[in-house]
Amino acid sequence: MKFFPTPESDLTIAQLPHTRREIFADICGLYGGSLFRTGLILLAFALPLLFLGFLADQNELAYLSFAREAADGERAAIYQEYQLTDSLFSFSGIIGYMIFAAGLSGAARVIRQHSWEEPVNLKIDLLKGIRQNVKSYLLMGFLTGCWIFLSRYCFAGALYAQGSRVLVNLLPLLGGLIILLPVLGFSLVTNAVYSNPFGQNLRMSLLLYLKRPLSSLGIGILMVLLLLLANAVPSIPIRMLLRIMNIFAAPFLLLAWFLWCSSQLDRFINPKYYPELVGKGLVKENTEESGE
Amino acid sequence: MKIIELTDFSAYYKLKKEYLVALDNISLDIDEGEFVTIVGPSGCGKSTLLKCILGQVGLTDGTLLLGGKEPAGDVIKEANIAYISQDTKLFPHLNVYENIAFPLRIAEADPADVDAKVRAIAKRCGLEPAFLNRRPRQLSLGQQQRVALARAFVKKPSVILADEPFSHLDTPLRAEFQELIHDYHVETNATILFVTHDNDEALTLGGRLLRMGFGVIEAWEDVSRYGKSDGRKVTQSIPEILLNKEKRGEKRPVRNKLLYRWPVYLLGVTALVFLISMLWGRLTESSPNEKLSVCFVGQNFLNVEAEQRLSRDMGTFTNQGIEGLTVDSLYNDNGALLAEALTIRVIGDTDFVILEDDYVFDGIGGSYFSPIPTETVERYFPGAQTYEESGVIYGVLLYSPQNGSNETVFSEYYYGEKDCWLFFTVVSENAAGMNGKGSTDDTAALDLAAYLWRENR
Repeated sequence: MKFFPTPESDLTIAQLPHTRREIFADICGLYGGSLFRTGLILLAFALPLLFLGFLADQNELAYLSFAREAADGERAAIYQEYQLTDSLFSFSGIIGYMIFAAGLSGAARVIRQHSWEEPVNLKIDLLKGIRQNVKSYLLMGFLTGCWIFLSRYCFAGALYAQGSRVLVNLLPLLGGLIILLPVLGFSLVTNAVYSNPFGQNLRMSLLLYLKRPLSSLGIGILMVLLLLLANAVPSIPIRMLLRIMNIFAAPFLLLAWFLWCSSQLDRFINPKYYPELVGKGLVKENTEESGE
Repeated sequence: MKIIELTDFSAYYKLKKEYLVALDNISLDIDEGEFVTIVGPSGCGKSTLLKCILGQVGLTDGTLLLGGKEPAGDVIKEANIAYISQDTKLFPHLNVYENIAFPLRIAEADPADVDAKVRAIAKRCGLEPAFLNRRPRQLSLGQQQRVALARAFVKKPSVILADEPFSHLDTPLRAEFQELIHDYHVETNATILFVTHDNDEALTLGGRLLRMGFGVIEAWEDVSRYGKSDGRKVTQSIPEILLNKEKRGEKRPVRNKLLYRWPVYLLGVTALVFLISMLWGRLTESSPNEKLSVCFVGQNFLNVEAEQRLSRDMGTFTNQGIEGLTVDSLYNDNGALLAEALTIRVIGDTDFVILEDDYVFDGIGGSYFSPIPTETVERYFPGAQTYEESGVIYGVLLYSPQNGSNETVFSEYYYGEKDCWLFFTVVSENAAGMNGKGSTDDTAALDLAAYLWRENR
């Protein structure tokens, strides 16, 4: 039984996606299953992080519950204890983020190939991606883990701080959100696309961020908020469920991010330094050639 | 060198009680690099011959040698044989690239080589690079056949078995593919066995022509003897043979696949209906408590044996009504009783549990339970299941607080002490007041219950 009737006429180049938006729809339609499997693989790499998150959640909810029930004078002591215990989890989380980043390095190649409309063999491309990108991604995982550790530590401090110290304690979180995260977001793409040293890719990402600060920030914060949505829920099972859903959604979000970043790279960097990458994946009108 | 040798070779298909002789004692030799076109009427055994070479027919007799050796194990792998059929047999879940790369992946070729070979052969077979990422379902029949050809060619097979691969294509496309396969033959000197029922195609492809009758070789002919216009001579006898077969009633009836498979479909539909009805039944399942059942708890409840706990002189009751009861008491620093909390898990078909609090609680009589209003439940116990839903009762009795706000004391006392039971909360109304020990702080009682509720979730 054939589920899809065979088309009567030949597939033509003109029927292929011509814009990155069309590529996104095309890949989601054709390779949704592959992206879902990529999410499954990412989930395996995220297990240590999820486990730590589970423990940290229990710790957080228990202490916050203590704090709610405690008399006013006792709250500060409870928050201080919470800050200490939470920092243990978030410090261990650095390793968790690095493990997840290792998986992400493989997934990044899969996503890159999809965004270029190149054929993907999940197993081969994933392993190849890990071989190619793992160092830079581990570094990014380490940086992210450190930032989250610092942010959580200071954020917990803000719970019992007084006056202007509250703002000071929020600085690492806000600073990372505004500067570090968008740059690392671009680095996800530049490190998967270019074989430059990490520092050079980071500079390129910073340049890209400076060229498009508002939209980068907007998209970056939107994605982070989506990921942090889980932390706003007071129920641990729902938090875990949301996190797992986020991991499954990550390949789709990453694809969208890759495609948007590719358009920015085509605008600011590729024409001068990497002309062969301009419009890669897009069908070019005149040459009848896909982005090979 | 002879690459395919068949000596006194027969092949059979098992019918119900008989055996159909598909190939009847045939012998043939095919040299390396030869292009052999096989023609004959439908059902004469052309495809069976190819399947025998592939090792796909189980019932055979005689000798078959590939490259001078008896094929053992995976015959295709050993002899490097590729097979192309009319039905392209592309993998629908793989894209074009992976379909072409499949034989190389199976052979565990170096991925770098795979990429180069796949792209080169795809180009050779007229496939756009942009199509490599497409699914086969997006391609037309002609394009799918290109993919099938590319997949056959990619491993540079030494033998290609083609079973009427182009018969469903239109003439221009067929001519293009014939040229493609001919060129491939010339370039690689691969041995090709090409089955067709089309005279023109047989003549166009050239080489040796094997004319088959029903299960037998009728003749070997050299195609070069005929000009293209004389093509009819090659198969002019076929309709006659076919006619004779039909006259003898030997033509097998074609079964309608749908009719043939009706038991399977029927079974599938039945299973589906069964599954839906099961699901529907589960969804609309009425409460098992259609008949009201009352469990009475009281009368020396805490002091008698388990069998007697749930009985009283007003009737016969079973001990199936509740699973357990926990009473937690809270005292202040002076040893005065502040509060007692009780948890009961209701099991079985019990609809109501009547609590005789005089006996349940430690010597304090006169208090009574009443369900708290819905709005209070929603406020203090968001998401709480009702007693009917959870089958668990939770009760709190509060005595006059001695030290103002007791929430913290309660929290510390109950933290980590409770089983994870869902509960319905019943709060005493003015319990302590009835005992002349001062007024009851109902808000504090609710706070305690709400705290326990949160903890036990």
